[in-house]
Amino acid sequence: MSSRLDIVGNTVRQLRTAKGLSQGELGDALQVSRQTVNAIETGRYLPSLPLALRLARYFATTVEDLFQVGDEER
Amino acid sequence: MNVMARTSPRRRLATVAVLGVGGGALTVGTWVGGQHGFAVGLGAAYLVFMAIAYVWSGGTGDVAAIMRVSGDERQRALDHRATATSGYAMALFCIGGCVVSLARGGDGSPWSLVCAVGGISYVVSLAVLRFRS
Repeated sequence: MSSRLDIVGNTVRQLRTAKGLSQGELGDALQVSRQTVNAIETGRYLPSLPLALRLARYFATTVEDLFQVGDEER
Repeated sequence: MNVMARTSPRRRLATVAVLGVGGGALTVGTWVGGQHGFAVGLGAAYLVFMAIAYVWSGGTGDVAAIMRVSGDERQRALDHRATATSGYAMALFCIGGCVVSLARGGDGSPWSLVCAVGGISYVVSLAVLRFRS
């Protein structure tokens, strides 16, 4: 039996606004565009593992705490 | 430092150079083919396209970043997916052209040659990428 992980949400926006950062400022810190930060926050784009790790390190948290998964057994 | 501050003039010339080389080749071919007036118009049109591309590539949007060949991972993925989609569209069009040519009693050319180039390049690309991954 295999399981599939669905990313159902993330806390990037909440963490960003708590730090008082704009999307552009967060993008500059992570070396990605403002549009990419927006796409991640709205769930339209799943970052790569390196970018997800950079995000987690920037906010001093873990990838698992940043991105919420909904396990689905099949 | 924002994206605009990191935009170098050389990066902005990437798409301009592609348009210049492509447009130049088309212009020369058209001139050699005897259509001098059309060649001049084509050359002028591509100069305009190059100017538009240079100005556009100085922006902060996704397309501008792709034109500068300096996009982030998401923008590079957008470019790859758009390239693949356009490839599918061109392949379908060529297959359709080949079918129509054959149905009209022709030999399918030049569509069959384009289809062959597309198919062979796909197989070779797949083999190389598999070997490297």
